Amino acid sequence: MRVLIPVDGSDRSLAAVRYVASTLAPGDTDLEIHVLNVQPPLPSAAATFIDSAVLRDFHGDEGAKALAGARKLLEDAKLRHESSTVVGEVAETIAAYAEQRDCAAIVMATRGLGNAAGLLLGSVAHKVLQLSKVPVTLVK
Amino acid sequence: MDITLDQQFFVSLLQIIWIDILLSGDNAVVIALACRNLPHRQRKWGIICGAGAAIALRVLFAVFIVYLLNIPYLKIIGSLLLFWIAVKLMLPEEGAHGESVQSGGSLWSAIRTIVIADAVMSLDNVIAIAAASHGRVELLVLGLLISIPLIVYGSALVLKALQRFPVLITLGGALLGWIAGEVLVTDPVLVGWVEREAHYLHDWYIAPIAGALFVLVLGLSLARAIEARRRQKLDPVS
Repeated sequence: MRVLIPVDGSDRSLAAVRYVASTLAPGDTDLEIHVLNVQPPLPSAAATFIDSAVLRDFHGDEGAKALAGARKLLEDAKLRHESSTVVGEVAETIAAYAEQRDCAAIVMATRGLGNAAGLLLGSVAHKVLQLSKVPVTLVK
Repeated sequence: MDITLDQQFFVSLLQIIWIDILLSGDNAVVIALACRNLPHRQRKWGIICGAGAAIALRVLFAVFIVYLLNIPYLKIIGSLLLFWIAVKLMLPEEGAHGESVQSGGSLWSAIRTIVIADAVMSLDNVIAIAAASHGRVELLVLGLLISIPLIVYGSALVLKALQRFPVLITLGGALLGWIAGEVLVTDPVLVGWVEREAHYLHDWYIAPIAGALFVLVLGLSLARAIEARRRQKLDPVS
């Protein structure tokens, strides 16, 4: 089974990685883990002035920083995994990635903003639940 | 200078701070990115010069704009520019397509990028602040002062905030649209007609509301189209 774990680099988001490593991985030797970091696009007003190769570099570096924690956890647990960084709207891109790469499930942590703040600021987890065509596990 | 503190003053001040965060934050991001590939020592100089030029250009534009805004038709032009700035603000980066101009990572190319970006973005920022300050010079000056630390120190902070909470940008676009609508109906050419024939445009906030809605609809649909195109073929950057 191929499972997608989106992470944003926060300690909170690693809860999903730990859950997969401790709960799913032991029972499934065929488990394929994809870790994804989505970098929100820059405002176009700024981006138009910057060379696209530099932008790629920038997003790549930021993505690598965000992925580092998850990679370390998985390496320490000796679990095979792939990791990548994609630029786009966060929730929409997570759902699109799961679909295009045939992931069977998404496991992600919630930001823990609570109902009011989540409603106001936009809960990524809620949006992924709405958009995803595969089962989503939320880890608190 | 006659400084009066009233409700309108604080409303305008809040608007100006928000506009500064969005438009000066952008400018700081460009400076930081343009200097990214420079050697360490040059990077520091690039950022200092870039921020200095951005501040100097803002002051220069601000001095001119105070005189300009009382000339007939100029508020109409300013308002149209503001609509354009507002919609532009709401669009995300398009992503790499086509060939890219190779950046040699030289100090010279970084300076060129920064100077062009500073000129365009300072003008955007000053037009927006001038419109939000309703001709009150003390507000314009405050707006400039607030933008300075944002340009110098703001890049990382502003970027994180905007990326984490994109709704700040959406509402910022709506705010600029609101102000653009307000400015439009107070142009010396239009103000007489509005008072006689269409006072509701101003008194009932019809013009600002329409301006905000116009920007929201146009900005969101264009942004959606860009994002949809990007998602059709996901292209990992690493």
